[in-house]
Amino acid sequence: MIRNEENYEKLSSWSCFKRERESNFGSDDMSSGAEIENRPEKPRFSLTCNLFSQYIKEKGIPADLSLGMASRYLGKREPFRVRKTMSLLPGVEISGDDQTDIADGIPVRNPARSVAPATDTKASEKAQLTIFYGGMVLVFDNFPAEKAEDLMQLASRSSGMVSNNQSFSLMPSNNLAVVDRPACLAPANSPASFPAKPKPKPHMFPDLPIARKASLHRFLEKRRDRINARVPYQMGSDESIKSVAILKEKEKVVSQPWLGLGSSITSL
Amino acid sequence: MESRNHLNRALSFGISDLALKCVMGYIEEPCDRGAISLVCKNWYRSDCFTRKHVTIAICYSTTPQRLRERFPSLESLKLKGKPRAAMFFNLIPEDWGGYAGPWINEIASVDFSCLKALHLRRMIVRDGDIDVLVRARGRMLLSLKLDKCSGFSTDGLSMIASSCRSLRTLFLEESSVSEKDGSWLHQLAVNDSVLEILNFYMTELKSSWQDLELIARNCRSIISLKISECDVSDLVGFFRMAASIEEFGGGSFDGQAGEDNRYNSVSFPPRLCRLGLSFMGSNEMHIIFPVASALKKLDLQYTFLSTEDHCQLIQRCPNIEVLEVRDVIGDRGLEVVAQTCRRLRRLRIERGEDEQGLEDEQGMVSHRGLSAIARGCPELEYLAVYVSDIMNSALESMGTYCKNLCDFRLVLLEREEIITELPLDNGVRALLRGCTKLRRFALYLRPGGLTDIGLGYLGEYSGNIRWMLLGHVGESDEGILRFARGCRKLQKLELRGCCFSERALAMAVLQLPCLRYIWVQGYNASPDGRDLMVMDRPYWNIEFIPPRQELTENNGRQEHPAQILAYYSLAGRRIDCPPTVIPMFRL
Repeated sequence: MIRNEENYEKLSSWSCFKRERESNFGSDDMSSGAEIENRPEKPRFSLTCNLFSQYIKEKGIPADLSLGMASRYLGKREPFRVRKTMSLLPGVEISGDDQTDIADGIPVRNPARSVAPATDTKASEKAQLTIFYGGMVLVFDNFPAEKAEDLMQLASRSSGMVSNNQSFSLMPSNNLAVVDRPACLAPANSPASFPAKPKPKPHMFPDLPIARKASLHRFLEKRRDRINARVPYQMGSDESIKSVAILKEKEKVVSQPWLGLGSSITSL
Repeated sequence: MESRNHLNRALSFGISDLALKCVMGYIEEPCDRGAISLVCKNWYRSDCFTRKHVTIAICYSTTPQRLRERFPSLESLKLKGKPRAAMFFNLIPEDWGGYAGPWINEIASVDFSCLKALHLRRMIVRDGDIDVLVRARGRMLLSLKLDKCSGFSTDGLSMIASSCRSLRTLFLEESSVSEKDGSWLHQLAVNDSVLEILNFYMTELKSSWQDLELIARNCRSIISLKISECDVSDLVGFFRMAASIEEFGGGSFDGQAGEDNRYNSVSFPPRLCRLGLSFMGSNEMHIIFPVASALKKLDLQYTFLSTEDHCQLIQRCPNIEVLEVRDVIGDRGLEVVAQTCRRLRRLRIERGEDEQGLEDEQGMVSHRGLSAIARGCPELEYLAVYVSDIMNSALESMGTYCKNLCDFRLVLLEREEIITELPLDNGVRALLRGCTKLRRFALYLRPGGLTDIGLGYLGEYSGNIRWMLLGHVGESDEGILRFARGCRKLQKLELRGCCFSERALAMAVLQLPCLRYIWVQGYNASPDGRDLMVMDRPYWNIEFIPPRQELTENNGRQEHPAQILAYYSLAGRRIDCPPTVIPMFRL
């Protein structure tokens, strides 16, 4: 409970920061997730990332901001897959210690919290962390290499939950630690913490689809059977969709006279 | 107020028992009756002996013995079993419970000698229970409704048909009945000449046109017949004979392509004003045209009509008061409804096919259609709708124009990824402020659809709402707690897919003063459910249905997240829980 409040404070400080910076763009509060989604012109995401890195630079990253972010977002977007879709820092919620460890070595302005000052860690072992995930990019400056390794280990552990298990590599070239494992961090069809470009077919709640009334469920099954049965050439074939398409064409032809009749009636 | 109460109480002692009995005869509202029974022991007794009807919203909330002892002169009883979610495909385990047996055994006892009407909803009824019932009450029963029930067969129906000779109403809609012997309908037609309402709509029961014609011949006062599948071309004789029929539902159209004239000879009885033809397609729709202008109720939920067909048909039905369709009607169809049906009172727009290509592509309902309905149908009392897109303005229109709305249910489908406008906080507030008669309210959105502030509005402006269903609303525990600060009359709450923690849910339950029942699926569960026990209190049953996995037809797996059901009960803990239901209690 207490931790949540802390997170909330941090989060609101971040949202204030963000709102301030974004005000030129006339953007709304972050809580209107759909609002963001509605704008496919996409600079919003990169803008958010930029703002976020600015925020970290200016204010320092609060120890468990990431957790707060994740749980707040996920709480809204997809409350029941919190662990599975812990997209930024998978597994953080599982081990409480990691939450503070993640922030180690990152300058923290709040004196009470700056337990691990930057001087502790060698500068050479810090680099920019970039996460590519589901078509999104997240950039963290001065991310310690050992933490990156932890992160990747966590990610590989959590990827055991998902079927797609790709290998990953740490690439220290150009001082960039790159984690590029889109399919492993979360199921591709789950909504991400940050809205990406629109996907063709959304399955927002894979675990909890809108239920259908039993009577309608039975009717629609019968309807499918009848539609398939009415097309003799396609009987028994797997390509029911094709047959349906043919039927649709037929129905359109059949319904043409009605359309004609309709228009003549309305014109009378 | 204080002094008025005092006055009433003083007067009560001056009323003779006879006068009290006379007055009681005019008081029917259960809440008025309940209030009267609290005045004094004499009034309580008077209520006991004069109460004619009781509805028990969940059969585990009291015991059959208690009911008999308190209301021995009961004439009509309605009992509900499984949670409402059982109406939906595969949500509640089949063996959940809701057995009619103990109730029927009590009803069969000599003390319940006045019972004439029994309505069981979502209960498990065995043939043996039916046997006990008809042996004891068969001759007295005027109305028997086995509404969305299961567990019995046509043998049970044969017992009813041969014993209940004064039955006016036999209602089996959406019940799951095993077919053993198809003679029950014939027996009913032969034995029960006073039948007025026969309903086995949306069942798998077989019916022959010969038996239906026999019903028309023998049961001269039949006014409503709703059947399962039976080809409509075989019903020509029935429609000719059943001159008193006002309502017909069901049937089927089995004609092959090219048999376009097969249904031309169908003509409906002169008094017909409520109609629903299952499996009707574009080519058969014209058979309704001659009676269209007389129709007050039209059910197109189970038809094959396209958006255009809906427009064509509804244009001819200016007197429709009740309309039930699937969302294939589209915004265009709803605009026709708004222009044509000024007297519309009830509108249900069900969810159609999700697979692309199987439904008319135009069939989408959005804020456009809803706004048109709000403006065009000022008499609207009931609206249940599945929308593909929504804006606050549609809800605001409802609040502005639909002053008679008492039941509003909106589900936002998952089809479209981008919704024109979310969250709906302001729309919901406007709707609740405008529609002050609302008693029932359902809002099923998606994450981001209603913020915690919106949930606060929902609590604040829902002063008269008794039942609420909320899905995918709110952002945090703060939302449900804000909500629970209002809702002063909320009795029944159903939540699905909300991020609230067990502790917050439990705290909300304790805060809602009239809450008697809560069902939750999809919440922020704790590992051991300990936080749920915060709502533990006397007479409050808490039941837990652990998450389960099920194989689907195409060998996929479907996850069913855990469910919580909690309700007031004078009966104590359930003793017939299946392994899928775990009662929670403190030792």
